[in-house]
Amino acid sequence: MKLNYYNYLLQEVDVDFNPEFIQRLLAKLNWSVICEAITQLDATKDIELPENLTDEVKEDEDMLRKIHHVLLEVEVIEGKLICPETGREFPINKGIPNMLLNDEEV
Amino acid sequence: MQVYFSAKVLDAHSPAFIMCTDINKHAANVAQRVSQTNGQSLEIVVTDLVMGFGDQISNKVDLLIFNPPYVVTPSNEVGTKDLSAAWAGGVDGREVTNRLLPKISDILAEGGLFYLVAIKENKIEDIKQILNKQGLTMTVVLTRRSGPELLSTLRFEKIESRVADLPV
Repeated sequence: MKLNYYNYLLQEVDVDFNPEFIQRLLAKLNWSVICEAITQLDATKDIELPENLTDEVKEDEDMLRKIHHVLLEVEVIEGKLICPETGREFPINKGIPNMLLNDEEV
Repeated sequence: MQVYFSAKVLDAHSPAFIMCTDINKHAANVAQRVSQTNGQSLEIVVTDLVMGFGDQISNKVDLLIFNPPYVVTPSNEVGTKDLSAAWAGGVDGREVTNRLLPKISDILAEGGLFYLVAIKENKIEDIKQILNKQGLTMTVVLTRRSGPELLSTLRFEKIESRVADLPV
């Protein structure tokens, strides 16, 4: 399920860069979802990420630093996740998304 | 508290991306406060088990740790909005655990590990059979008595060749 973000409040934090860690994390990500998500946040919408994760990209330190930044250093503190199919909103408070459906919605 | 401690142990060796879930938002807030106070980064989600992730975690998790509500209680005490959700496990103390067990093999990456806390009343041999059928092998890591409870930490490992050998 791709969710649309609506952010009221973002926070940028500093996290130590570890290129091998980012490379291992990349293997677990749905890359197209990440690329889509960053276009929706004010702090990241101008960051250009490659469409495909080629071996070249995965060895490029500048690119890994960019990826590190969007994955680990930008947090949605207050906002909403919105299901594009149903319009259902899931709130994010203090950086914690609440994915629970109410009793009526189950 | 447990989540923070595990995270500290993991992170001491090499960085890890750690996600935690809890059905109770107060528990989630406390976990976040403890981790932030101690400089540990965690991604916390309020959801029922892993339901908030859909199929995004299929074959992704290297280490899954579950401290379920394992106390044997009447079924109607399970899954309430109050603090008893932390311990009320219903019949055999297994009603919540039973909802996660069928998903373990799917969630874990190759070589992934699942750690589960259980008491004797939870019928550990039965848990073992359920996960064996998914190609997971069990080791009892530790057993300890704590007051009236005989607690065990169980470790399950996903070995792809075993999964592939299962009858279809």
